[in-house]
Amino acid sequence: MIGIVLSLGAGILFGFSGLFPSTLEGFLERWIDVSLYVLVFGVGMELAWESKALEEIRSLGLRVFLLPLAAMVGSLSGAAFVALCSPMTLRECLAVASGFGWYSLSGVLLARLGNPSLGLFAFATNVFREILTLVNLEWVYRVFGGWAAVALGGATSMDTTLGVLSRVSGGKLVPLGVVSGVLHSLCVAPCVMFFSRFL
Amino acid sequence: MMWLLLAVLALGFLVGRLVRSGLARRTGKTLSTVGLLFLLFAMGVRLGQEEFLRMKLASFGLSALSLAFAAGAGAVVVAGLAERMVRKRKRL
Repeated sequence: MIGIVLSLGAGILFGFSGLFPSTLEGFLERWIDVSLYVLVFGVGMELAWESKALEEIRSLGLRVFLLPLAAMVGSLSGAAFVALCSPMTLRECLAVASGFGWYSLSGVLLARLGNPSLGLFAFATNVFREILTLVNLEWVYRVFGGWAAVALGGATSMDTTLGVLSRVSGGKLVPLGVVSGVLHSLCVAPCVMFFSRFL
Repeated sequence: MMWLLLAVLALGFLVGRLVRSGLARRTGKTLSTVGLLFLLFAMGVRLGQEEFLRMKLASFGLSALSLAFAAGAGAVVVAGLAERMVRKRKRL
């Protein structure tokens, strides 16, 4: 947990200080990709030893889809609640929350759909969701249980927050995290477009 | 990207299954820890560099944070209730 906060915080400070040369932008992107692949490969190796995790998926059967569905309903309900007590419209709140933590896609989509400022807002909101997940996942798992911990990550539970999920649950939540993350990721674009255009 | 990640996860799983020794488990744990810390640091650098985010954060930072919190909290509550429901049904 301390390592997570320190790594992220040190990175933000380093980037913010301007010490990182802008000529190495491409290197940074590659660094992120390689780290993600190393992380996911390692999680896969650990998963091979976690027989309980796969048993859980098998025993749940089709009910496994209930988790991402509940998480998406919950995310959108939370966003609707914010719309009630803020100057933002319901449409805007739902479109932004439909990023489910995938900040690059939701931000770009909303900007391309003709609302650049809402795109920026979606970018920031979904960055915050990812950071909140990384920092709070451990106690959410302890207090609210496994499904709640997976749900908190939204679309990120199959990539950036998968390592933390694996850490806090001893690998048990990895299959659920992947299933939930994939389904969330598949739903981001249709949901963002639906809420921004038609609602 | 998503499918490539799933392929890498499956490859790691396959290697872990083939090797099936304490060494594979330790290697997996080390790789995921190192990968996670490097990833978080690099993500932090990228976020810290986002010029527009820094400029706009003062104006909409609190709204963005409250929406992120509400969406996350909603997901936690509804998924937590769904898990309870599923476990109760399993026991019946």
